[in-house]
Amino acid sequence: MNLIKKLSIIIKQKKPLAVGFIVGILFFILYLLSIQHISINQEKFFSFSIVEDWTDKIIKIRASFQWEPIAVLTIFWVDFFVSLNIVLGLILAALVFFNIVIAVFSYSLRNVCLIKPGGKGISIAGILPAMFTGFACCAPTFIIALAPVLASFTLFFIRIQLFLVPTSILIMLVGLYWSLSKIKEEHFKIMELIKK
Amino acid sequence: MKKTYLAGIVVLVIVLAITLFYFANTDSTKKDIPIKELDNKELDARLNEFMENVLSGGPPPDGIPPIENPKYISINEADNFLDDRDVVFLVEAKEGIFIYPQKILVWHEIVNEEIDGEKVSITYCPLTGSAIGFKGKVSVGETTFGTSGKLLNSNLIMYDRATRSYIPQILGMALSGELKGERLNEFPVILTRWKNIKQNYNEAKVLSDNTGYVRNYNRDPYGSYLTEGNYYDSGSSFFPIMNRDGRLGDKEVVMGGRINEAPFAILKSSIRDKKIMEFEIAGQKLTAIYDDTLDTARVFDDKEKLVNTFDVMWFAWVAFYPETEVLQ
Repeated sequence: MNLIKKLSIIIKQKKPLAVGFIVGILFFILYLLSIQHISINQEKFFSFSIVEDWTDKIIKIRASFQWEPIAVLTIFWVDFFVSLNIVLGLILAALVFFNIVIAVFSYSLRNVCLIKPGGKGISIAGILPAMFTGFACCAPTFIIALAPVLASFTLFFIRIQLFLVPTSILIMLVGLYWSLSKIKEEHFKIMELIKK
Repeated sequence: MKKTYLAGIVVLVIVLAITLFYFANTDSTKKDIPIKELDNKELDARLNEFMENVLSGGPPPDGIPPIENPKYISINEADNFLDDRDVVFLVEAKEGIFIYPQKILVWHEIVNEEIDGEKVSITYCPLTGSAIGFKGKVSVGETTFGTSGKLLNSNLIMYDRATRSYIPQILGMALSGELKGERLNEFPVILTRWKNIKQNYNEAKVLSDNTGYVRNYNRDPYGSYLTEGNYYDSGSSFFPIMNRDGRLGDKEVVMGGRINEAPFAILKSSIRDKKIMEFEIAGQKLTAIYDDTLDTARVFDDKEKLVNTFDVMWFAWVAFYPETEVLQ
């Protein structure tokens, strides 16, 4: 049974799907917060504005893996900034979603089939590096927030910032492969039998 | 079969990483900066030492985007989004008074403008609390300035768009490139509060938050000038600095200036209390006079000519000028 087929079966399970969906959305929101694409706006209830030269600005880089926002949507006093980081955030959130779905499915297999599929810890750890990519002017945003505790790490994080997003993607893809390869065809059959 | 999948994933990741790495690091302004040696060996060595201490702040050139076509609004309009205690920067020109809110400049650091028929740049470095005006006319012609994304002693390094020379804002002198050793022409940019502007300058033009960029101008990424206990008044620098000096606290505000290249720093709280200070630097008699309408001081030489000074955090001033005199 190939990995895609396994994934398509697992994704039809209600519980893993629901948990994966919730965690994926939470990750997406946290990612947007970490790169300052969500903020409170006390002055506006609803508005939308877009910069005039958005076609030029949309590909303008502000820092590693951060692109210039070209529009802002305000709903219920919350600003949502629109940039290519939304696409990157969705890719990362999709990887989080698949990893969580498989982790939850593997956990239920452990209870039912007494097997211990591995990899979920590793793949979930892949969430972390991407959260540290936010930059404000000349310092990582999470360092500003935690300063002065982490100020001495500023240079370190600036040096590794280029690798944070690729590291996240790499860890989550490897985790996905590892977890799926641990699940065998007979596990699905046992699950089906138990359901019946 | 498994091996094929694994190899596929590895190839995909590598391709993705290379693609993202390329796009994340595309630097359209990158060009080799020519190495220049100055006749003045002492200055050359000093500038080279500065250059060796230049650090990346994270963003690429103009990743912190300067405002190129500033729009202005009236005092009444600006009052809708400025608090009385908000920090603003004032430029006195023949064609009027120009006001630049700190809450906008914290996101852009440079405003390229034409005032009194001259290209000028109003610059602000949030990490060192310094605001300085520079004229765009340099030895090779007229230019504008951009943000290099680099820092020296936590201070903004600008680059000039004609020669790509690096110019730390506090130093006001090019470290590299064709302009190496050249001092830019400065003009005063006064740091004050919005309340002082409203009371004294009805006709002033205020920089609009319609900058052509999407930012939350009500949020300062570093802290706030309206509250205490954040980056602007406590703690130390985020980045390594070349010299430390315990004569004053790191974040104490001084008014830094130079006369015949000799640096001096007036403790702002001292001039606020004393109102007038007379002193001598490099054989020049100077007088600092406190202006309580703007909560600033102006320094004059013995011919009553204005000597440019600007507010700056002590740690940054002394990092550039360890030999500085301190007047308190």
